[in-house]
Amino acid sequence: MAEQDLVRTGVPGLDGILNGGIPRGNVIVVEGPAGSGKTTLGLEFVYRGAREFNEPGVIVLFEVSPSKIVRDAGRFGWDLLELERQGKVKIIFTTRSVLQQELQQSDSLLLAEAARIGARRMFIDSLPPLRIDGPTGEDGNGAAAREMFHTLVQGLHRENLTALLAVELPGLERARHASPPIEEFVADTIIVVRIVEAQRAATRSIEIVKSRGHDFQMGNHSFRIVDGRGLEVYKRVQAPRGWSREMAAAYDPTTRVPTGVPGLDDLVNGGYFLGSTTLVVGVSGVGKSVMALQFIAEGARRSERSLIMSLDETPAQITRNAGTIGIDLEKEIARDVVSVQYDAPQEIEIDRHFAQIEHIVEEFQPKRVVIDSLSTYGSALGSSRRLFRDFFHALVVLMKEHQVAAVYNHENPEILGMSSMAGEYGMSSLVDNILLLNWVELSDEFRLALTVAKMRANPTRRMTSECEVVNGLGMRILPRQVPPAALPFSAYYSLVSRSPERHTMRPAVHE
Amino acid sequence: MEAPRFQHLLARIGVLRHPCDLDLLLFFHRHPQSLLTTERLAAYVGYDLNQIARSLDRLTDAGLLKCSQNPTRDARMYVLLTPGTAWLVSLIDIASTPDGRRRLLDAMKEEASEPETSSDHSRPSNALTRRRRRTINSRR
Repeated sequence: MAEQDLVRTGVPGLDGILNGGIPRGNVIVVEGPAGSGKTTLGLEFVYRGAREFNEPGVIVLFEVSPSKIVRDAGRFGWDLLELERQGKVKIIFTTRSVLQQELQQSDSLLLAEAARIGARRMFIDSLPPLRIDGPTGEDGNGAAAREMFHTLVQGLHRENLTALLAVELPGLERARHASPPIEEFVADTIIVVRIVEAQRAATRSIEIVKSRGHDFQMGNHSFRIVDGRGLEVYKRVQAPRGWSREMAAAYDPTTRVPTGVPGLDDLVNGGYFLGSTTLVVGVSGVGKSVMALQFIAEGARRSERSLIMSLDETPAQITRNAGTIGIDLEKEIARDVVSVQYDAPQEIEIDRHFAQIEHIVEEFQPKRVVIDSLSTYGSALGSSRRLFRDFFHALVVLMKEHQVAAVYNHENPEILGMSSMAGEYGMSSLVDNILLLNWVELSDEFRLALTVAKMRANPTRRMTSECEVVNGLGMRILPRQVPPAALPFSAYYSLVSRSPERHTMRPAVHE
Repeated sequence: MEAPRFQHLLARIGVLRHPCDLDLLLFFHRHPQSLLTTERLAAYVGYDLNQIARSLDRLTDAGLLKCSQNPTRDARMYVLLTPGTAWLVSLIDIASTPDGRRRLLDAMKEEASEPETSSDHSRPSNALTRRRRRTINSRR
């Protein structure tokens, strides 16, 4: 089958959700309220066409003066005047009625200008929505309005221009309209851009509602308008990522990654498998991050690239913390063996955030990854448990595709004992290994307990071991019979259930 | 900029004789390629059709503007031919402030020699331009 002639928008991320681009000659309608990014999208479509794909383009404006458009484009580093000088872009100011008349003329001045520069793209900014039951229909059923839009589309088709038309839409949700806009029936591709308000913040979303002649990724994706760059579109985190990732849902069953915590490898049969997912669960301050740092340091010691992705602490804090247990993280970062990434949890945009992690993993190629912590993602995403689970699932699959041994810290709110391993998020089934870090109150002191609760495809004794965090050294698992001054954990039962009790059969009783 | 410098600039440009000339030039600077009917152009800049026609002719004759000629069409394509020249940049820079614009108009008044500036045909068609005329008169 011949390869389809797709017009690439060049907008980072957008061609991905369009599965490569838009069939040439399609009339694209971009709908959205004021300030939603329609004009920026249209300008970028023409700019990148001219600049990156050698496809000259015409920008037709009705309300905004070309000088303002040139100025605004400059904010993104797009020099439209230079492209005009090179004959790759033409900006024409006109009126809607003149445009309609022009597109009905075989000797159209506008299309002659387009032909003069060999235009392949056109951006028209902007049209009002034409409604079936709106006043634009002279006969009351919108036939005249539909005919008008159809005429416009036919004129563009005749010239084989791939045209993008911005259509103003009120701020209300598209679904709430009394009737769908007429252009939605006539246009080949419909893209809706929205401003989504949530918890006093506002984010941008983009949806491909329809696109004739090819497949595309449905649903609401996210995007940003970034100074100096333009639009950046982030595929929604739930969207399929392609065959290779779907096929990667299995870990390497042979290669083990040592944990870096003295004594722990004995409990996990020598280490975690490559590509496996490990959840470390425990209350705040119990030592999860210490364990994670030792895991990263062990990787660095073996010159394996390691990544820390944190929502809780900045790189400076993480580096300082590492120093307190004898790990020189700065040196490893300078050696390009360790990368520490931080994203603020407030107003996190999960599609963008995931795209960043995806990019880092693909570029940096780490063998070990620590995510600290999942519970912060949970609180950042608010009440959307489903979104959290989808994000976590996407992370797990990403790490498996790249054969990364991933450790996820998860804060369990229970200070003593645990009634559930992963709280309310229901992610236990997605992970391969679960380690529980738990305080145990014996006499007048809290002692630290570690239980390997799950190790997929591994034998495990499910034994609770005592461990300790030593200043300057980090965490270590204590041998079962020490410290000699106190009774070992083996002298108790119900350690993890909030009510440890001593065995009645302990040796002292028999003596 | 002092008045003599305005006049010097206008003298260099040479062609601007009427406020409508200046306003059209400024409009085409902001819209270097426009496909418009004369009526719409008149509405945008705020002068009557006769004055618009005269000013368009003046800008075209001076080689500052090119416009398509097709009597069967309502709309014409107007293309500014010197969008980046230094004198135009200076002019735009001056005219971008209300004071600068007023002083430019004053300078044009002083330089004006064509009889049309006092004819009825030249009267700006909207309130804004009437205000502008009052301002010019009050400075005499």
